[in-house]
Parts: sequence; C-alpha cells; structure tokens
Amino acid sequence: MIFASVIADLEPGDREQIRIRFTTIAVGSPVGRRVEANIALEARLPLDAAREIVAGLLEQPNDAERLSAKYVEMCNRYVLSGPTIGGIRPKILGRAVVLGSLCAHLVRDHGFRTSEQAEAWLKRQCRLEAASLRSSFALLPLGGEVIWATFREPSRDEDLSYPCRRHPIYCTLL
Amino acid sequence: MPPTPDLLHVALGLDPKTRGQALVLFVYSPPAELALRFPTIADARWGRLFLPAVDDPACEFGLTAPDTDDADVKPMPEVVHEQILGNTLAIPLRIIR
Repeated sequence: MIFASVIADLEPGDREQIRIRFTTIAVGSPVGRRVEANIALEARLPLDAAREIVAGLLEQPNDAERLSAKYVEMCNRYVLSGPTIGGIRPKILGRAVVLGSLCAHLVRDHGFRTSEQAEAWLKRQCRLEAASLRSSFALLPLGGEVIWATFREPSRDEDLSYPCRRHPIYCTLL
Repeated sequence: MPPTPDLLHVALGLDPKTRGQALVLFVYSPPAELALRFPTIADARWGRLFLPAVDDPACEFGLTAPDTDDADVKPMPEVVHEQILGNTLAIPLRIIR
C-alpha cells in the first residue's frame, strides 16, 4: 500500500498528524469514510503523488472541509497517473452514462437549448448505423477529463448480448 | 453481465442517486495510442464509487465497486483514459431504461 510506506517515512510527529487528518476525513462524511478507506488500499498511484498528497494534507488545519478541498486539489494534479493495464489490451470499451446528465452536458456545452431537445436528438442518433453515428458524434467527447470505461473479460474484444428489460430485442453492450 | 439496467448501474458503480434513470450506452474502439490505465484515488477524487486495484502484480486492471450487498452483482473490469471523441463509436447508440 503506497500511503503506508509514505507515512512510515514521516517523522513521528507528522505521522501522528497525518493519521489525525485521515481520521478527520473519515468521520466527516460517508464519502470521506470511503475516501479514507481507499487511500489505505491504494497501490497504483505513483509514490511522488502519494507523498505530495500527504504533504498537502499536513499543510492544512485539521478541518474536514479544508482537508477535502485540499485533497481534491491534489488529486486533480495526478489524474490519469496510474500505470497502464496489463495483459491483452481490450479492443472494445463500453461506458454507461445517465441520460439526464448527458442531456444536461449537451445543453451546457454543445448548443442544445433544452434537455428535451438534447434527448430527442439522442433518440434520433440511436437509429443511426455506426458509421453515421461516428460522423454525428465526431466532435462530441464521450466523457470528461477522465473517462471511466469497462470491457469484457477474458477475451476483451468480443461483443456481449445485453438483455434490455423494456426492449424485446437484445442490444449489444460490450 | 447484469441482467437489467438497474443492475448494470450498480455493477458499474455509478452514482446511487441516479439509480433508476435511463442510461446511454457508448461502445467504442479505443485508438491504439490511447493509454488505458488503472484507476487511482486521484481519478476518483471525491465521491466516485471506486475500489483501488489490489496490490498484486498479477492484477491486470481495476474493478468497479458495486454499491450493493447482492452477491449476484459482480464487479466489472474498469480502466480510465483521457477524453476521446465519438468518432470512435463502434456500434449504434443505445438508451436503456
């Protein structure tokens, strides 16, 4: 665990202080509890990033809001810093996005006037074949700064049949 | 694969507050030069349901963190990558409810 080794390298006083701060993060909110647990389990973050996060938290007073704000600020510096995955590279990735959130994004950043207009447009896109869809979506990002995606294991490049509850057909998800 | 959209929502570790809402499914071919990475706490920042990959060299990718006690909902492989555009879409778009 990467943070355990960073903490072990601290002076005893700082070691105690960072433990106090992690406890403050954990008891501050349910999200904080999850964040603190994940910090303890993290093993893929670069060591330098873990050191900087710890140093950044130690700079802050022991206040849950200040610590969470600093934590997010530090995380923003190290997005997409994990190592590349191993094994066979998947040829196909999939992601699911909440329709309402996507429509709000289309309104905010892509010129749609209302969410209803964006949803109607998306429904029309569902009727397009892949080639036309690629053209239609050519300038639309599939997510934000960091895109989270999934894929099929173990072959990593096959389609899956996905049963849709409200559609009598099977649609392909991954 | 989860048998219903709601279970898919849970299996992917999407925000529980949006459970029950329609999902748009993007299926795409990542360009060869696109780095597919292990998710880390930095990518999850504050609030995303996420479980760090186990500390084992044999672990080849991340796994989603389903927010459920239902043993039938299995974590799914998970990666992160930088923003890409929709010109990589591989199959028609789907909206599931």
